[in-house]
Amino acid sequence: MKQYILAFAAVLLVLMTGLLAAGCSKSEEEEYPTALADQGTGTLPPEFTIVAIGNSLTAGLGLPESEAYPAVLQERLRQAGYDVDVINAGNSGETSRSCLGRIEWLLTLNPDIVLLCTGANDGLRGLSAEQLEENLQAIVEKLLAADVKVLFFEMKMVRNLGPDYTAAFETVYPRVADRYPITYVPFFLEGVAGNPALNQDDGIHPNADGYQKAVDNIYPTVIEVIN
Amino acid sequence: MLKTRYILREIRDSGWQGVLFVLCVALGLITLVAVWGFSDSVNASLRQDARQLQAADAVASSHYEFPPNAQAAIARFTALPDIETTRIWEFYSLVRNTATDYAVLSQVKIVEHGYPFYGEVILASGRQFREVLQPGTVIVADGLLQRIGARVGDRIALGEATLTIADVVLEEPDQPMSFFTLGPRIFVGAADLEQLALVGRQSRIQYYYLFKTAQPALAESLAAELEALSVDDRIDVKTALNSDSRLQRFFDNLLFFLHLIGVFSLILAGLGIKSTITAYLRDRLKSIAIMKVLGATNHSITVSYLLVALGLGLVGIGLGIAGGFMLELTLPAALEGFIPIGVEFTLSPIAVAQALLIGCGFIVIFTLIPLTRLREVKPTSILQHNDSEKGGGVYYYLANAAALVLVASLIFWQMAERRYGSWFVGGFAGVIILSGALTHACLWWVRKLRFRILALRLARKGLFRPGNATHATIITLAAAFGVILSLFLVEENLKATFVTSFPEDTPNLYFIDIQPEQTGPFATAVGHELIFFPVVRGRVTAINGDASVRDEDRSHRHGNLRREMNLTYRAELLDNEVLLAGKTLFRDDWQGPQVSILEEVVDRADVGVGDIISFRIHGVPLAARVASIRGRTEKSLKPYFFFVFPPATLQAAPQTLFSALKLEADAVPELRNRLAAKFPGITAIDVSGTITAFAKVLEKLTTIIRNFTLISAAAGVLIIISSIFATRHARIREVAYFKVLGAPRAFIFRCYLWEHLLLGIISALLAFGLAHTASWLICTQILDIGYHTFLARSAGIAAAVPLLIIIIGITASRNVLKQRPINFLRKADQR
Repeated sequence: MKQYILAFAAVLLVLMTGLLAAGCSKSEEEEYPTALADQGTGTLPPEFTIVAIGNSLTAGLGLPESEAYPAVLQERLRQAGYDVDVINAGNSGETSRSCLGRIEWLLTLNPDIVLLCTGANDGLRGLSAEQLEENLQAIVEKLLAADVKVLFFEMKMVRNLGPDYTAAFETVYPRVADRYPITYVPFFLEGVAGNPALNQDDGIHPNADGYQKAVDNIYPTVIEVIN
Repeated sequence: MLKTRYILREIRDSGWQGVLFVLCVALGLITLVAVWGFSDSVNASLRQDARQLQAADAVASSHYEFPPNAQAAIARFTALPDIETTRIWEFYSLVRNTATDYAVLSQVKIVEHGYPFYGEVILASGRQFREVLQPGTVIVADGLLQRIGARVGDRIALGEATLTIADVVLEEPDQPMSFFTLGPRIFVGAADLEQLALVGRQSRIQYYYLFKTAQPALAESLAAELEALSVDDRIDVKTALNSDSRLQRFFDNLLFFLHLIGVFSLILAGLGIKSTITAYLRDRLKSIAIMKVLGATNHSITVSYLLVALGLGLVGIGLGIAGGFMLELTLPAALEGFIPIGVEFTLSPIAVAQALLIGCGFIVIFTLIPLTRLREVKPTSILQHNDSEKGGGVYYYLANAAALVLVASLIFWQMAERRYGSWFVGGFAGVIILSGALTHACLWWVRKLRFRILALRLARKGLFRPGNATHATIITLAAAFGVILSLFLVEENLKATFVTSFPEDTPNLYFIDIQPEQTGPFATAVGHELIFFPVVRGRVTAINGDASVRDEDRSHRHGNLRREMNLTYRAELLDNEVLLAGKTLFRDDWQGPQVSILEEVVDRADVGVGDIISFRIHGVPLAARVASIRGRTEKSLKPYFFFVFPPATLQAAPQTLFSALKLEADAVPELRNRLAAKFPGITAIDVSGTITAFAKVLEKLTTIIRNFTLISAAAGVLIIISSIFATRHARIREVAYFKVLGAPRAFIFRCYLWEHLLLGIISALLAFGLAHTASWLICTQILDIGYHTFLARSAGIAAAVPLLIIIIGITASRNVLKQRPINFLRKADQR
């Protein structure tokens, strides 16, 4: 028996060593990399700071951030000679209520222009259109109070939620736009929504080509506001 | 003829040792035969029932209406006589009670007449689904009735149509098993599709085609053609053969674990076989020497005893197959509710063949190990009284190597995946190596101890007598019972984490999107004490300046760091958290933002204390230094966060709050309605049903695992018995000498008792230590759950080992203790 076990042990010792080596983890305390303490870019602030506020449609869910519309817009503007930063402040799953809750925080970025594209998740969750309107108004009022130029994006709702709800939802946007000195941007996914070639497999989030098309839609309005 | 008579006589006269041998073989096979048979039956049934689980032989689905080329292909297939097609449209929409105007977001399923091809939609009235779902009617889930305050017969508005509720759905065959759904089910007939006016280009619809085919091959070719037509994989096609259902995965996992126990029982049985044969041959040394004197060759003696072992072993295999089948028949009752209806549990011919093959293989190999030592038995040993073991030379080592190869092959065969096989072999080898080292250490220590009691000193001497297999016995017992105790501890920990803890404090109702100013009014409206967790959404953009972290593998089982994360802030650890690295949650002596990370983050990225993680929090960049790494002591449905910041860093950030509540299932709909009216922005998610189902599954699983572990334990008991038998003769002779020297029977009894007690205590202590180490590793490193020691119960089980050893040891020698020494010595001399 003893020999049996010794033989067994010897053959498999190599295997155990391998397992143990694989299980080793790195030391917990490491030197603090001081060179990385400052994560800033070290460059001067741009002439314009544009903050894109919204939900997954802004965040670019399912894509690298560099392919979402704020990054595409920034690239186009810079190519056109504008010294501009477009910050992607999109939060996937966000409703108009949660958007309202973070406006103060976003204003710490000192934006010159805000691209406000929110409310789609209110619709997809079947939340009340009245509540949506109240929230959008409150958001716009806070932005205007901070002397920020607002590009207010129209949002459309999927038809399957029913005609009553869809109609109630979609009339909210022009009504809010009429009440304030803001720039109304017609549905930025016009020609993109519902087109399989311009959307991801989930059928609702644009792909990289979709975002290019979306930026085509909004670009003239953005230029107008900057100028 | 002479040889046959001799073999039959040896089998007949094998006595206790024969019985032990047969039981070893039988117990080694019972578990595996049961698992093989059960797995064959269930897998065959699952293949048959996969089509019921998806209500069709093949299902094609897409987020978009099927393109014309795919529709043309489907039309071509449908024209064939052997294929039937039906369509489903699934989406969310608002359903309104026309009387009360209450509305609720619902999961609409529009079905054509053929649905379902297999399985049944069960209605509360007991009527047939197809008869009830007529144009102008809907069938709804009970939850929908409760949410809009409606009853069967009431009218609801859906899209452009007004429809009548005809019945309540209790069960649908292809029900999605997703954790969260946004609304209750509503069935609508395809005749009303146009009237609803909800399905179109600007709608978000899941489109399905269901196919019923006469032969499975037809479904496969259909699937292949549709997938080929799919642009960017937009059409997903599942057939009964590739559906990979949750049920299939559930059984795969369960059977994998039972296989593991089965293989372990078989290895224990192998060791039992070897010990029994060793004891058996030791009693026959004189006979073998006489046979050699009469001219028998080593080869003929080896073959004769191999045939004796095979003769006895076949009885054991027969018993193992019968016992395995009986065990298989108990499994359906234990798994009631999970096993597909109509599974026939039969004695699988493949299981019988495998049992015969493996049983014979184990018998031959493990019998050969002691048999190789017979080569060293000299004819002159008739005149000697030396029982010490002799080395078996090259054949002995060859037999051992063959046993190793057999065991390793069996493990790799049964584990299916080589990776798991390596883990098992590695783990088993680790247990043996560790047991060996600890046994040596323990015995060395026992040797050094000073005992005052004479009986104890003599007992210790007995442990080290030449030829005694004390080391081997202890290693075998410690390893065997260590693994059995580990199985018990892992099972108890699983139960404590997922079953016992669930009814106590696991929330079943989750609230998301609570605004900071709503906490007071919301808690008042709920009427229960609530804990609010701040949730700040953010993304990791870089680690130590390396932005590639965001492009790492997205298939990680718990998601990856690239996705948008929920961050939180607080100053203290939660009750179910421990610090794994770092002295405190945050450091007072550090300047700038800090973050505490959960150990799961370390699994996904090369990050440790002191590293810098860059975040984008609601558009604002933030670089924080890792101050500590946290671990969770219990992992259930309690909320947890990968990243925790000090309050000062994130307090000002936009946030929502999240809360959870444990509430009686009956009270959930009323509360949801009340809250929905008062706080329309807050979403309530009810997981009561999921928790109950989950707890039920685990309860049943732990019962099965316990029953299988008991069989391993029985194999372990056989090892004790066979080990005692294997070394019995030397002990008995020593006892006889004591008597000759005038020691009273009570004194010899005490010596004997102490010796077995020492053997038992060392084995039990080692088993106890090994089991806790192994279980702790399995629970914390593999299963990702907290670890409870169950000290009293595990100590109780460990204490059974010395008790068993004493009972078996004393029982085995009771005749000797009763006999007069001269009779024993004369008898020994005559053998």
